[in-house]
Amino acid sequence: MKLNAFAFVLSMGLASSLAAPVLASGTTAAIADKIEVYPQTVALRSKRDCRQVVVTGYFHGLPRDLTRTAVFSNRPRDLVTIDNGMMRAAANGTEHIRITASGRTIDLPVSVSGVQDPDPVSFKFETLPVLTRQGCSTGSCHGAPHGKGGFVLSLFGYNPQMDRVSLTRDGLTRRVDLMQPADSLIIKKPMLELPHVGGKRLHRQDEGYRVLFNWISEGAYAELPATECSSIEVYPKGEQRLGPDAATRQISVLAHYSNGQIRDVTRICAFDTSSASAATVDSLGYVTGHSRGQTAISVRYLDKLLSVHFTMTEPTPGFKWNEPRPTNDIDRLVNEKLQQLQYLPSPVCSDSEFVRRVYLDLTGLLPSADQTRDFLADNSPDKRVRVVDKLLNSEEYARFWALKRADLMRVTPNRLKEGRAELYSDWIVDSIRQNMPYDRFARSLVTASGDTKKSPAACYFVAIPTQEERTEMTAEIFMGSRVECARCHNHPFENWTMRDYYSIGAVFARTQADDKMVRLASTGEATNPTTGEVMAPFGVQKGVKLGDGDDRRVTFADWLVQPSNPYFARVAVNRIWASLMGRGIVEPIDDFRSSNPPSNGPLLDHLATEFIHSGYDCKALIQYICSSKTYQRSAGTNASNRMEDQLFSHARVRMLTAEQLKDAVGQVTHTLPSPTVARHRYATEASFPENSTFTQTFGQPERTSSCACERQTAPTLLQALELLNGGTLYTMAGQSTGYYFNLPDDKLVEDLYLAALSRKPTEKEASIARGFLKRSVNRNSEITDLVWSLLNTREFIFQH
Amino acid sequence: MRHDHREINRRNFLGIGLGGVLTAVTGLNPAAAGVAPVSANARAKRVLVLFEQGGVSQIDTWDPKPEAPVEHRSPFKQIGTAADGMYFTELLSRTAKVANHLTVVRCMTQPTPGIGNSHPLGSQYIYSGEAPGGPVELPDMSSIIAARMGTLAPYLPSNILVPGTDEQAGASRIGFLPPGFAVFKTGGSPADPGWRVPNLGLAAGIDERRFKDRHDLLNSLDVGYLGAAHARDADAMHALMEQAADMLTNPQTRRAFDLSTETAATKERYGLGHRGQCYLLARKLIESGVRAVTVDVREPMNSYRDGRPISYSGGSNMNWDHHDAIYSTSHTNIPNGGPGAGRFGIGTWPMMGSTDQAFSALIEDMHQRGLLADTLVCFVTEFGRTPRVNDRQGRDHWTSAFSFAFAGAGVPGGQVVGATDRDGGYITSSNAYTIEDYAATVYEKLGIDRSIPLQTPIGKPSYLASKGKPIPELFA
Repeated sequence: MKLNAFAFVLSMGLASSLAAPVLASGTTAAIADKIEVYPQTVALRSKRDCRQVVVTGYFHGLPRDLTRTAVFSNRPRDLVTIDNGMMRAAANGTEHIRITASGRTIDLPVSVSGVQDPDPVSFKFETLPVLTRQGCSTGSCHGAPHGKGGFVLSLFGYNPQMDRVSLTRDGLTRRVDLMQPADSLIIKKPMLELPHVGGKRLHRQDEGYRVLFNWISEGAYAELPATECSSIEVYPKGEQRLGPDAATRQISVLAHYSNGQIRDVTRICAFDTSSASAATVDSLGYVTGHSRGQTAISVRYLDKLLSVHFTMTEPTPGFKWNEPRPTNDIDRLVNEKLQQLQYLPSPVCSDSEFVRRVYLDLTGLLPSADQTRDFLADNSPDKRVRVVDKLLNSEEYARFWALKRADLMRVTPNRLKEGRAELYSDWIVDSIRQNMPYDRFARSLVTASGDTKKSPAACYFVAIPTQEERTEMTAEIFMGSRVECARCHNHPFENWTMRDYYSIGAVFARTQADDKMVRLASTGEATNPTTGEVMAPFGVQKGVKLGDGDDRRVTFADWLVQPSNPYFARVAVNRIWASLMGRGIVEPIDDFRSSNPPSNGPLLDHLATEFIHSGYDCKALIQYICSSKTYQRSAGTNASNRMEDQLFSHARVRMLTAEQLKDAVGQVTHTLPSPTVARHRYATEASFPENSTFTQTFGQPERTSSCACERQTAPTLLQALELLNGGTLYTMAGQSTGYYFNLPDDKLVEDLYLAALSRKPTEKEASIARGFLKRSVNRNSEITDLVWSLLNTREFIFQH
Repeated sequence: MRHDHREINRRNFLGIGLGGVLTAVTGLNPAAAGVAPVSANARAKRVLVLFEQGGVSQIDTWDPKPEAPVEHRSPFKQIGTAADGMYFTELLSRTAKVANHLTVVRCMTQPTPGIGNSHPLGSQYIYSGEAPGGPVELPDMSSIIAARMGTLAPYLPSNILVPGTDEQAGASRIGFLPPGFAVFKTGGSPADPGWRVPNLGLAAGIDERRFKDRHDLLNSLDVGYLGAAHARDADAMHALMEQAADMLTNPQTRRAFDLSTETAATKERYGLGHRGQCYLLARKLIESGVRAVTVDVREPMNSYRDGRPISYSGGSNMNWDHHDAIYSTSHTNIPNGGPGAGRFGIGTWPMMGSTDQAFSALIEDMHQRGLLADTLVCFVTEFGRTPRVNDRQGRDHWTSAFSFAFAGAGVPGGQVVGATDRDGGYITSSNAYTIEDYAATVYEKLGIDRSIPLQTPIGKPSYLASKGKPIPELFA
């Protein structure tokens, strides 16, 4: 895990090389500036040894794959066969193969040895990966918990012992036929020579066929050596660019084993793409770009997974970059990505849009009519920065942002009895009020002990009493990783293994909690249920041994908050970014994995670096983001960015949250007293969710999960009914007459628009509204209906 | 090895019955997921589940045991029915007349008794069709059906619970599905002359004219704003508001819930009490095109009988949980209290009396209206009751054997499936079926392809009734 974590950092670091905005040009007939071959020498050491050779040409500095058009000559001794760049051993010897492509040549030294010796198929390192590659052991096929059609395999081969029995012993041993290998069920079924619900999964020319056939022919020898695959190495590495003239790349994959051996596994690993519209990958590892966008091409071999990130660019006719100077590095990095993918950003929003947006984002509340009037009337150039400063120092900010954190930590009286939910909530509010550095916040929680009334942070462990919940919640909140899959099997889309899972479990295995106290025990371990292995706590350096008296959580916290941790700061800034922008740079915000790439890696890196340098200062980060043009862009789109919704080219239109909506209705109808008088009546400031019909309908979470997805954000019919016909809105609109009744119509309409939409009505809107009020049938019901109507407009219900 | 489900899951779901719009967006319906060829088994367009909660005693109803030892025998006599060789107890005397439409399955069982042997978990088991407690708990079957099949009537929710109260809050769940597929609860009692569905009838004080005025005003003010025209959620909300406004004023919506459109004779046939009118409302909703209707009656203490309010004195929790005094002719409260307090005896009107009347009326009525042809009707309970009467004259929970009844959508009539021993406690037939098998049956009847999994938000495939198989005798 750790090794790959550093690879993740590396790939993010390399991302900045993408900054060059130029697009590839030229045609395939052109002469390349130079060509490169990977690897620079090939040494095949056994009969079935092979090596994927990749030939790359550079045109105006940009790479283009030439593997399939290259000519391999000067091969008098035919030491190797070559198909699509894959070299396989044929005869012992050495020679220099000449590679010619796009008018350039390069010589590749090749040596072959050992072809005379037997080279049996390895069950563990070839057969099982092939079953993954062909799709047999996926979660929707035989890798499902109960398998399919009576044939059960472990998910992606995580349990070789079980697969060995399943393949060679179960099913009346018909799955492999040692006498007639081609009659084996594991060959006939996927070849559709027998009915197979999963369809045709194997062809005679597939490498998979060769591996399975040979393995059975050689006796289906299912040895499980102690050797493990220690890592995989993928070429090319890091961020890659594709364009219309250079839309293809060949991937090569090497596996490194614990005994020092290295094997080319390009033809037996599995490839996948996160966005097929941007680029696809075939079973030979050949990537083809299709249309503008970004994708992660993931490579899986056994429990190892790596991704290569590709950006496909396409020139848009008539595209002309017109963005004025960036305010800060956020704008610079966002603009670089927009320019590369050719989207024009929206202009900076009006003061009305800004004041409504920033109040909602920072305090959860609407600005009052008077606050909006003051802001609009202020002519000083720094007024946007000043209002952000003012709001960051408000009590509303502390409470609203505490709510976001408390949502994930199950702060509810159902779990935390006798006032502990309030105490815990107050502690979180106070940490935000004091702007406690985020690393200290995390450390305070995961290392908390003692009487939960005196040390409310210890409620962290009371709210989640089991080792599994602690493992999963801590990983999700602070590492943005959904490790729960690894409770029963290795994570299907990421490197999290069962060993990692139970290693994190070991961190908390000695933390005992009842309602009142959190104590450290001197014993308690976590055991991997598949292997019975007692796991060492996660985060402990190799060779270091913790004593029984040492708090494993402190060691874990040291690992968690160190600046080199690839997750901690990135996950934190991504959460803050998503709160302000309506979408994470990594989305979903708690699903960090190399196969789910950030939409703007350099931006995420930059924010994380700034965050670390500031000493994990959340307010400073919010101020930094809010002062960017990127945050201040209009929600209005242009022809270029209309369909763009990942790169922050315009503000994102999103529905107010349940709490924001409830309070906004209260504010506009003047049915809520000022927060300073009755804070507890504000849903955005409460210690725990009210979970009324109204707030539940609008997606308020019950705080039973650490996944941000517990808060439902998609519009529903029940919400529409609640808005149009529900008691809450109706009653509050009716009560608004108490405030609006005696106002002159002009002032009433203007106040109402300022309160609900933070802008003055247009001439047309004012005249419609005044006309409605002038019917004078019953002023109470006319005001009620006008207020109700405004509360039902999209402009009110949504933030923009 | 493409993980299409992750693509689908990244999309925002809209939820609830928007017909074409809905299914196009969710990717949950078979059309988007790659439809399997329609099986000959797919005889149902709709499903009506009558969930009689608390654990109905099998030996006092569908599985009479006249040979049981006298001290444990049901006092209710075995009677013949309209179907040859099919016997109920006399508590089902009216249902006996429609037995030629029914298959009674007497070999239902919970294979792992510890899991569903409590009312909250047993009820969740019935609602979701899967034993609770797995790593990913399935949503309600009705929500899955709504998500997979969409709606037949866009102006109505596609899955409705009659009446639905706070009591189902724990057992009925939307799980990982989008909230739009949460079951729509009608609430209250349709036997109450003043009963209306909250938020579906216009709010008090808002007549249609005023609603139209408001709505016109809203339309003239809701001009959108810069960018909103291209904001997906705002567009979706606009469409949903239009649909909601249509529901609020569409006469068909109101008619579907309006029992006053039924003749007095029909209402009386079902029984002018809470249960009878719940069953009648369920038939109306099925007839109006609602895809999945669940009735979970739970007779309230303050209820209706013969069209008039009645208070069942001593009946504080009138489900079928007859731990005490099961054969009482009124409440089951025994001196010094017992776990079955607050119920009414199984033979009383608010219990089997109204059930026999309502269920027989429903089957007869649906048959006459032709609804049985393509509606699957299931009469279910979470478990049965002990063959032995305990020392409080009650019967306790029993998961080894209990009975379900089915009708419609190709279910053979006059059929008994499975058998239990002399006491009604253990299955003696070679076949035995689980609640998962029941769930698989419902999906199979509806033509829902169980080989296409649901996807949780983290992209884990989750199969429907994966441990169940359709009950073959229901497909004869």
